[in-house]
Amino acid sequence: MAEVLANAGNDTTNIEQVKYSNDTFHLYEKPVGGKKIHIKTDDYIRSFGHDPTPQGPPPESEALPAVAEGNASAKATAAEMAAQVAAVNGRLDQVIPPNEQPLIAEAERKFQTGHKVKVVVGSENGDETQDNWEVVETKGRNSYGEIVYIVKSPDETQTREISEALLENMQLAPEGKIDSFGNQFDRFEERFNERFGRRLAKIEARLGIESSEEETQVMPPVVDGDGKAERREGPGQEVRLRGRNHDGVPYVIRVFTDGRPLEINYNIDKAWNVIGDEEGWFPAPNGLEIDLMNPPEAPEDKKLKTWTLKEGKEDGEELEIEEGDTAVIRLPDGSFNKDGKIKDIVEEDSKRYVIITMPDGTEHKITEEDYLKGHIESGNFDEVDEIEEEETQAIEETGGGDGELGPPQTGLKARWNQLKNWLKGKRGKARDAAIAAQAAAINKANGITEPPDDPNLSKEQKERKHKCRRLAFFLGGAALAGGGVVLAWWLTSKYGVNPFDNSPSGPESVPPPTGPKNLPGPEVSGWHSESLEPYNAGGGSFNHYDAGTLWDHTIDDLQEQIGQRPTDVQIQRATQMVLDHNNVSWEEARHLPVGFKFEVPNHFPDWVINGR
Amino acid sequence: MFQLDDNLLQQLGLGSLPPAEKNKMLAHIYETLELRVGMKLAEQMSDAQLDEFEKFIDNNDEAGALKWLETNFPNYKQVVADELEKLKAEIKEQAPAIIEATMKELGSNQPTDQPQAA
Repeated sequence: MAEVLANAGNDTTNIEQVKYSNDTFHLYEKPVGGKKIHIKTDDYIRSFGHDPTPQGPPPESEALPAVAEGNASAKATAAEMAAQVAAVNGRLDQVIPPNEQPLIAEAERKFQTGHKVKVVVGSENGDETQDNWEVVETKGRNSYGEIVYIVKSPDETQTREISEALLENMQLAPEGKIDSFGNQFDRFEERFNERFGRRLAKIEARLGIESSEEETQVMPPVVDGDGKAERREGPGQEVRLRGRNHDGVPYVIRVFTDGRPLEINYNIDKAWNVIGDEEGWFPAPNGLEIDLMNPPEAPEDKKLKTWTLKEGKEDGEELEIEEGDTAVIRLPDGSFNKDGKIKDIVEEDSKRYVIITMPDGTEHKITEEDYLKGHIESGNFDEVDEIEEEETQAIEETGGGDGELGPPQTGLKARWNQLKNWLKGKRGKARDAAIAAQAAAINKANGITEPPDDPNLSKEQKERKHKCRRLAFFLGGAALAGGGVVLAWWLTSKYGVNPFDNSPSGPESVPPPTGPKNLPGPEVSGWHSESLEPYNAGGGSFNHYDAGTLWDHTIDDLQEQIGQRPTDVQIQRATQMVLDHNNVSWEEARHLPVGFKFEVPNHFPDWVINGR
Repeated sequence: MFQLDDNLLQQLGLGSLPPAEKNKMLAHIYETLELRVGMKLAEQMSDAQLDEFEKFIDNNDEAGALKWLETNFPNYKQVVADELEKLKAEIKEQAPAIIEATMKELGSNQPTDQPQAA
């Protein structure tokens, strides 16, 4: 029997404190006529506004039922109860509660006793940081397993219990008051770049892409009205981030402080300005989660519109324009204005008109032919030569291969998209110039100098030559993929293994894959057989990888299960799981014959998808 | 399947290149092959065929493009194989010069370069 040491409560409920023979305490709520329920002391204090624990030392007792020897669960419960009572006693006495848990070794602690730390203190005017708080001791671990520290204020009037993770975060907090949205944003930016910058750098190094300052930076917070970035009442504020996907296509993400879903927009100009107001934004399918290297593609209705303008005559000039392009308007005095943006093309009375929006919001409507003439007369086409020269030079400096285009991706879909994205934004002759420059660079790297165009070539012949070259990369891409030409290094390095390096943990490669042996056990419902087909890049559907390698099968199955393109980490875990199950090493997987049979799980477990 | 991998580089006499240079070389081989095969096929096409193929690009229909290629140029795989053989022969001939130039370039960068990921 337990000994009831004290009672508290009201007319309908009794609170009992009970002491057991092993000197542990227990609090119970006992409704009149009801069953006795164990309660936590904190819950009681919240409900009743005072502490039920009797003041002063409880009377001695004896012959109380002991917790059965070897009953670990009961012992743990008893220890928990004792800690609760002890904590309440400690609060009443206004002293640091006794540390019931064993001391944590210094080596495990990031903060040692006596360390001065920065602590964020709340106030009515917002949070602020205070320096010179002192670590007194540890107070065990919280339910997340984090070390909890007891720290005291510089004037020794306050103590606080802070987990190690929170205390670490506090050391990163900006000085002084941190109620400013801008301050918080600065910290966020720093941590964002710290977290993703390294990852990007690693990926870029692996792909041979040189970083540029434009890569995935965080843009300043966008605020309304007076431009001050202060927290304010009303609609959520907006924060924008810049990024580029695997193919180097730029995009902007915006998040809102009111918790709305994250949104993405690919319709941006070279200065990262959004084109078309709100029209290009679409919500991330998974709310606030997004793979920065593989953001979802824009729905068709969110893409920018493009048009081809044509002169009325048969062999007239053509000009491709895109919504948001800089518009060139010929003014009555013969000068040219380039402040406006292309908004739309409308058709009236069998004539097409270009609609241009000016910075002040006014709109101009110009016939297709007039716009085209003005564009040509403005000399805009002459700029093409400069582009060609610049691009050729840039490519030559890198010794072949346009940095913007990047190393060729294997698989027709991937290469096709890469080429399309490379040419995105390049119009008409500028596009031809870029392609010509790329071709020239490749030829030059092979020691071939292409003779200049024969001046006697007719316009049609020149146009055909441009067209052949323009189509050559796409034609070649299709032919190589269909013909089964595979860039093996890309397939393997993409997933973290450099086939030319025997030490996969080297600095240039991602960490070696962690197999199921080091991860929670897979809960796999079953496996099914698949086999390697002849490589047929591009033969599959748009949403599926080619099935020429074990990786492709794994990615396809995983994609089918989760309904979206898996991340690199997910692919790595899934592939490792499949390799382990089939007793195939990463090295062997690179040389598997067509027809090789292997097993893939019917359902990938959570640890593959979520890492836990 | 034509695998552009380390074995190919070994065959061509480029096995001693550093790993990073091997990657660059394979990428370059791929790009060169792509351009040459593409130009070879484009030159054989009529204007109408060029227009037809361009539509697949405009519509971002790579699967359609491949089917069109298989229908209109059933020998395209032979073009790929021929061009690859020609390219391999060219590279093999130049392999010693490529290695020498690469090593020289890497050597000249050595004193100023910080240790970095390859």
